[in-house]
Amino acid sequence: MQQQVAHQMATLVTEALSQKSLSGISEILKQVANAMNAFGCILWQVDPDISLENPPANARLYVIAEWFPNDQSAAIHDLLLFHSLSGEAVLNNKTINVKEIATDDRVYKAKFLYRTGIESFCTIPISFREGVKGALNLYRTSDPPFNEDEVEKAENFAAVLPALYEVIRNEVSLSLVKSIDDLLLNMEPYTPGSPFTKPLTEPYEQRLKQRVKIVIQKLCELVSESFGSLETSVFLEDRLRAPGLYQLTATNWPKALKQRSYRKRGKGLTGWVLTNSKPVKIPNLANFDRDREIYRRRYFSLTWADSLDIKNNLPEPLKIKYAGGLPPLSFMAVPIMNGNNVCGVIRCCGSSKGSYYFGHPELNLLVMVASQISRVWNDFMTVLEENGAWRNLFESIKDLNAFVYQEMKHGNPSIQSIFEEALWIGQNVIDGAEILDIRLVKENELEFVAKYGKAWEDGTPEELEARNRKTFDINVEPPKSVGAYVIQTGQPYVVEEVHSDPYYDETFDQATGMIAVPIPGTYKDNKATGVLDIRKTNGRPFNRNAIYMAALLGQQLGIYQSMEEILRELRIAKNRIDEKLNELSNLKDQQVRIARDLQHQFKTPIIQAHARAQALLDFTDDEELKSLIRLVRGLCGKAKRVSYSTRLFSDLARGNPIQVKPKALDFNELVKILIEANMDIQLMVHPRRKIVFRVDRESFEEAMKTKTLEVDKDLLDQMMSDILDNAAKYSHPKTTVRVSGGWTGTNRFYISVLNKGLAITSKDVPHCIERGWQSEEAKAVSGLESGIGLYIVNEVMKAHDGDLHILPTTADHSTEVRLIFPDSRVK
Amino acid sequence: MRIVLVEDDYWQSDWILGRLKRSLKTSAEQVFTEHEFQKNFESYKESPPDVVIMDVMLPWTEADEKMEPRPAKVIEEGAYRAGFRCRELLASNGKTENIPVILYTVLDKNDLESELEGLPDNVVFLLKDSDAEPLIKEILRITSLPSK
Repeated sequence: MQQQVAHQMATLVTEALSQKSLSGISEILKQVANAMNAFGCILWQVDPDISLENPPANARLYVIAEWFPNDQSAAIHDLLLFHSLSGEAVLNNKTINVKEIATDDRVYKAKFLYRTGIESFCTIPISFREGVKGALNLYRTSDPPFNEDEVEKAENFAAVLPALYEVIRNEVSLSLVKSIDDLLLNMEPYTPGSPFTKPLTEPYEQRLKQRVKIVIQKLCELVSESFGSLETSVFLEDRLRAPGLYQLTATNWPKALKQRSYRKRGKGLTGWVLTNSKPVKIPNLANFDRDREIYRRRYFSLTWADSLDIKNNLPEPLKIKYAGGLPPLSFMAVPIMNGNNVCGVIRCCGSSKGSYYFGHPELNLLVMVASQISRVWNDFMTVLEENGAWRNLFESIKDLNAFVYQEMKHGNPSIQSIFEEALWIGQNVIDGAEILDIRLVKENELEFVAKYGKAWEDGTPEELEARNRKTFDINVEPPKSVGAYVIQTGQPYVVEEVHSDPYYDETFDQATGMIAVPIPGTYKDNKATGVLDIRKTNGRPFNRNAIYMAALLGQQLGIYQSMEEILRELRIAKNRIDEKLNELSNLKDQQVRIARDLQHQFKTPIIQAHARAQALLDFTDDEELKSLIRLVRGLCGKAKRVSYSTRLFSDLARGNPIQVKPKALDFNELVKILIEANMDIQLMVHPRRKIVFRVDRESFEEAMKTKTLEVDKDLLDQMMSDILDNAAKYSHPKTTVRVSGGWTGTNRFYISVLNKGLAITSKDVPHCIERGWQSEEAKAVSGLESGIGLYIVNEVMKAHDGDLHILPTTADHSTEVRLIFPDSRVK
Repeated sequence: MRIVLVEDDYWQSDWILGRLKRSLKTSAEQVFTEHEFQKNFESYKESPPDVVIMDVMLPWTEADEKMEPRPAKVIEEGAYRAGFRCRELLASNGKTENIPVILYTVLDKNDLESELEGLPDNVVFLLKDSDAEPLIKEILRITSLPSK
C-alpha cells in the first residue's frame, strides 16, 4: 500500500515536472482523483489579498483548478470562508469527511452535486507558499464514502499538492522566460547599422512596425499558452502619431473586440490600469457586480465595461464543452511602463482549464512580460522618433535650401539670415538643443556671428557685451577651447561633462553638454572656416544621432558660404563682362556705322562711274575707246555688286532680315533689268572664253503678258548678277547662258538662268545655298575658297516669299537655276 | 627679254601685257592657271624665261568639258599658295632655280609673312597697283642682277 502511494507520488512529481502550462495542475488533480478513486476533485485557495488573522466576513475561497470526467465543471467558482465546510476545514486546519451529503445538514446543496450524482466528499486543508491557505476537495458518487485510510492517503496527496503547484508554476515561469528570451534574441535589429545617418523610408518604417507587431503577437501567444488564458491582449501607444491613444496591437481573442482602443480616464478595468499605472487582478469577472465593494476598496473607482462582451460571447468562442455554467473568469492587467510613463497595457482573462485563478506569481510573470514588451516597443518608438527627427531635419534643410536659393537668386544673399535659419532648425530637430551659435574664423580667432536661444539674452548689459565680444584663438597649441580644437582637427567634438572636459571654456554656466562641429571651408580651401555650437542644459546625454545631425547642418553651412562666395565672384565677373559687352556693343555699333558710311562713300562714286561709263559709250564712235569704256563699266558694275553683296552678307551675319522694297515691274521694265545685268557680266567675260549671255525676251512677253512682278529692283539686279557671275565663272568656253521666264507646273512665275558648264549633282544641290560652300570642281576653277552668291540669292528670294530652285546638271552639262515667285508677287 | 606672266584675271593680264609692250617693248607669255604653268614647266627647263611675274592666288584650271582634277597638295594647301607652289617648282630644278620671280599680288606682305621668310634673292615681293611703273622698274632691276 505504501509502495503504491510512493509510486503514485513519484508519478505526480514526474507529471508536474513535465507541465509547461498552468493548466497542468488539472492533470495533477486528475492523477490524484484516479489515485483516490474519486469522481472528481477541486483545489481551492483563500483570496491571498486578505489576512487570515482577521478575515472579513465575506472572505472567499476560489477555485484554483478542478478535474471531473468529460470536461465537466463544478460551476461553483467560490465559497464563503465562514459559510462552507471547505472554509471550516481551512479555518480549523482540519479535514472534514462528509459521508452522506443527503443527510448532512452542514452541506450546501449545490445543484452540481445533484447533477453529477455526488454523494460524498472530503475536504482537506492545505498550505500554499507565503502563508496562503486552501483546501483539496475529493468527491465520490456511488462508491462508498472515503474511509479513514483513504482520508489519510488523501491528506498525503494534499500535503504535496502545493509543492507540485509551485513546481508547475516555476516550470511555466522558466519556460515562458526562456521562450521570450529566445524570441527577442532572434529578432532582427531595427536598423541596418546604428546609429543611422539618413531617414528611413516610409516602406521600411512600415515593415519595421509589422515586425514589431509580429513579435508582440508572439509574446501574447506565449503568455496565453503558459497561463491557458482565453484572452491575452496588448494595447500600446504610438506616441508619435497618436499620443494618448492606446490601440490594440496584439490579441488571441477569436472574435472582434468590442473596444479596440483606450484612453486614460476611460471606463473599464483596462482604462483604470492606464489611468493609475497599477496592475489589477479580479478573481472572477462573473461575480464582479456581487463583489463590487471589495474591488472599489482595493482599486479606487474601478468599473467593468465588459469589453469582451463575455455575457454574450462565452462559451461559444471558447469551443469547449461545459456541462452547466461558465468556468471562473479570472482577470489581470498590468501596465507597460517606459520609465514613469505608461505606454500600454497587457491583460489576461479567463482560462479554459484550471488553474482558473491568476495568483500573484502569474501577475509577477505578466509584469516581466510587460517589461519585455516595453523594451521592444520603446526601442521601436525611439527608432521612429529618431527617424522622424532625421526626416524633420532633411525637410528643414530642404526648406532652408529653398530659402537660400531665393536669397542667391536675388543676387545679394544675406548670409546672416541663412545662419539664423540654420540655428533655428538645429534647435528644432536636435533633442535637447537650447543654446546655439555659429562662430567664424576672422584673423586667427573665432568670433560669434549668429546666435539662438534665450540664454543669449540673459545677463547684465556688461555681461552680454563681454559674451558677444568673446573670441577664441585658434592657433594656440594645444588648443585652449572646443572651437580651437574643432578648427585645428577639422573634427566634431562632444562635451558630455563640461566640468571635466579639457577644452571646454565656459561661455554659459548653465550648459551641461555641448556639441561643436566644423563648418567646412569654401570651394577654394578645405580648412574649416567656422564652428557650429549646440549646448544643452538638461543634464541628459545627447542622443546618438545628435552629432551626425549637427555635422550635417555644419556641412550645409559650409556649402552656403561657398555659394555666397561663388556668387560674389560671379557678380564681379558679370560686372566686368557687362562692361566689356557694353564696350563691344558700342564698338559694333560704331563698326556698323563706319561700314555703312564706307559703303555709302564707295557705292556713290561706283554708281557714278558706272553711269558715266554708260554715258561715254553713247558719246563715242571710237571702237577701241568703246571697248575700254565697256570694260570700265563692267569693272564698276562688278565693284557695285561686290559692295552690295558685302552689305547684304554683313546684315545676314548679324541676323538682320533683308528689307524688301518691292516695285511692280511690267514686262518691259523687268526685261530691261535683266538685260542690264546680262550686259555687265558679259563685259567682264574675256573674249577668249567666248561665252555669250542672252535674254529670251519672247519668253517673258509670253509669260507675263499684262501682268506685273512685284520685286525689289536692286535686289533683283543683285540676284541676277550673282547667278550670272557664277555662270561666267563655271560655263564651258564657247557656250551660251540663257535667261528666260516661265510658269511652273503649280502656276508660279519664275526667271530661269540656264548654262552649260561645271556639274552640280543632286547631292550638291542642297549645299549650294550654304554659306561658304563650293563644289570640288568650282574650287578648282574659282581660285577662291568660299562662295556666298547663291546663299544671298536664296535669302533674297525668301525675303520675297519665293524660292530658289537649282536643278541638277543633266547629261549634256546643262544646269538651270530658277527664281520662283509666289502668286502674291504676280498681279 | 622673255617674260612669263602668270595671272588668272584676263583683264589684269591684258593690262600688264599692254604696259610691258609700251614700256619694255616686249611681249609676255600669258599663263592663267597653276595647271597651265605646270604643263609649261618642261619648256621653261628647255628655254628658261628671263623673269616670271607671278600672281600668288591662282585657280587650278579653267572651266571646260575636260578638267584635270586637283592634286592632293593643291587641295590641301588651296589656291592661296598656288604662286608659291609654282615658284617652288622653278626652284626644284637646276635649270630654272635661278630664274627671277616677282610675286605680284594684291595680298599684303603681312598676309604672307611666313611664306616670304627665307626666300632667295632672286624672288621679290611687289604689291599690285593701278600704276605699272614699280613693276617695270623691278623687272629692269632684277633682270640686270648678275646671274649665279
